[in-house]
Amino acid sequence: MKITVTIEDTDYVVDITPQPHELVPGQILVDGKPVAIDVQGDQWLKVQPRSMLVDGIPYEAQFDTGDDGFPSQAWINGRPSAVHVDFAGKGNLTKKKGVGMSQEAAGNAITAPMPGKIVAIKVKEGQKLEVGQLCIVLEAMKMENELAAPRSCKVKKVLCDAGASVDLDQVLVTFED
Amino acid sequence: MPSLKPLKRVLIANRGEIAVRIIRACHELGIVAIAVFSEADRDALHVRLADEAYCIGLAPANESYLVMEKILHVAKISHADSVHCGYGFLAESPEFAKKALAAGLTYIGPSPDAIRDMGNKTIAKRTALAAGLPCVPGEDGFIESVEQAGKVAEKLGYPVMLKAAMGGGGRGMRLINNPAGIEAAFRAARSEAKASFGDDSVYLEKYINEPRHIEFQVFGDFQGNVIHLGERDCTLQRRHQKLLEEAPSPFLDADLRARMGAEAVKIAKAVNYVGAGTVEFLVDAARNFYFMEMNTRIQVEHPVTEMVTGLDLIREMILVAGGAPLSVTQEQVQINGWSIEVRINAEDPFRNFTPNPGLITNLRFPAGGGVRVDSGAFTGYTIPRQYDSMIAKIIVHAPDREAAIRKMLQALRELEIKGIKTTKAFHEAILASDDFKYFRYDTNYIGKHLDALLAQYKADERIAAIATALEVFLYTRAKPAPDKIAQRSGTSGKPSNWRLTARRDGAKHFG
Repeated sequence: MKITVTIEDTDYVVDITPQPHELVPGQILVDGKPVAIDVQGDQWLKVQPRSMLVDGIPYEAQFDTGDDGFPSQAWINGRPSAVHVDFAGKGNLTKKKGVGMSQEAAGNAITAPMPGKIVAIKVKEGQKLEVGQLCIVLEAMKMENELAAPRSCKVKKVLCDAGASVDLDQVLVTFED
Repeated sequence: MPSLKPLKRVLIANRGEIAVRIIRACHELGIVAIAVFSEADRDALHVRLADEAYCIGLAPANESYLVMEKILHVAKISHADSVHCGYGFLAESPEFAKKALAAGLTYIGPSPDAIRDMGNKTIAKRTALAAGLPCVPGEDGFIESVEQAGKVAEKLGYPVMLKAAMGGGGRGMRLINNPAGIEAAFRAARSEAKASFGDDSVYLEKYINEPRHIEFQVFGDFQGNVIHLGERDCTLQRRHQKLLEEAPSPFLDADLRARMGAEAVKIAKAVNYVGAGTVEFLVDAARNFYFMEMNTRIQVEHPVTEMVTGLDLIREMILVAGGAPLSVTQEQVQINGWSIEVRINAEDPFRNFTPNPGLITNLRFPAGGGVRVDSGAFTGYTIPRQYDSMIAKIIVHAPDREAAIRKMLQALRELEIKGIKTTKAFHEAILASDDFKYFRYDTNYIGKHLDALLAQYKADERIAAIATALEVFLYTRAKPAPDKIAQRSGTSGKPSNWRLTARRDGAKHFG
């Protein structure tokens, strides 16, 4: 299986040949060169953090997952690295993005970056906003977070109430041009 | 003086790691520990470990942990004989201390008067001055003219800071390094103050150059003994929040320690202090020290003092409150080795320390000789969003500072928290830096250097690529359970392992 892992504009092509009927990888090539790996294939997914030896050196790995269901960040012995993976057939497997996340990416919504309580709603439906204009004040963990308009736009709908508790990723305000 | 009898049933008016800490001290003394909890804390560790636990209301602190009547009601029905407030919440409320005493409880801490006086910055400074402590030199009263500014600045000694009387947020402040800079600074500070606060009153204070935050642990008993237990260096801060503390301070020598310690004891004696307290100083590059404030409670970072002195401060608080004298004299206090503490918070240092409360799906704490963890967290615990973001304090003790740094790096290497973002990487980056090793930092360091430090703190790309590829590979190869649902294929006409797994687990993702 050929997996391309992109880290900061560099593509690492990792080619893993599986052992037949086993979870243990047989051979692994990184950019065409063989690498000695020691991994307990049947343990890898059960234990946090993951453990691997590369050329005899032990590393522990942990992953953050992106919206598509694949690793978006790898932590190697506690150090982070933003990653992007690609492989043949990945398109069939990608989890659909939730409405909230893709809308936010398009600048059409503000979603709650963490669970908390709406302390103040500073905008009304139909109001014209400038980029960076304060829309919502969200209180969480004894701190106030100011959520602002991502672009010059108009408020379409306010979907939360002052004083309400909201969940992570909950859509709070939607915008239109 | 209250009638003193050894405590038998302590009500802990707090939560989280400090509540667990107090429970441990109580149990070691054979004392019953009574816990209170809000609805958000029903599953918390302090509730699980207490002898008795009482629900005091809804999650918000002002509906539970801050409600004096509820705490006192629980004290009554649980037959508590005393109350320990930990830090935060009601810990420095003179009103609560008074009410507790009036209810016949032993208040584990100083008198309500001492709490009130030290809690008021103006009274505290006056008390310190009266006791002969050096304070940040400043002129009482406002500066009305450039000439007056010059005279006062001469008296204080340059550099000086011109500050807006109604100021805040760093605005309306101007640093003046020499007489030539007065006029411009005076006009600018006043106009900025007027614009920002509607009031152009300004005053002058000496500027503390490259300030370091060094505090002394003091302890008093009802017999009138007051001692100090050495200092803690809390210079590494971010937005005035302490992140890392160490004992002793790399900045003090024996002479300065003795002088500052004596001053700390002086002010504690001036308010007839009983129990644990902390006197905070600012120390400048020239090693002048200035009284800042006194905290009339046990502090978050007390473990580093415990590690180097071998004393249990919570135990001491409980015994002193019950009438026992301090277990050591000043001469018997010894500082051995070096201790460092880091606060692991549920905040993402790569995203401006955004808090992220949530479920801890996996937790592995470091261990070994000289490694201590004070925490209320465990695997499966959800950090509630209504309180502070602290997950754990990791503390190490080693023979010297260099060994302590290495020990802490090892402990952080072993620390594993999955499910939420933490400040672990931030501490690793700091502790591995030369600036930290050679103590080249002041209270402004983090603000200036954090981004650069974190930018360097990255994984080896090749290793990250291999690990990520293995993760993807092994996940797609995992044998699926038999699935009764009709299987639709990808392009090959055969069901893919991934698809089956996804259906079975409801599109669960990695990790």
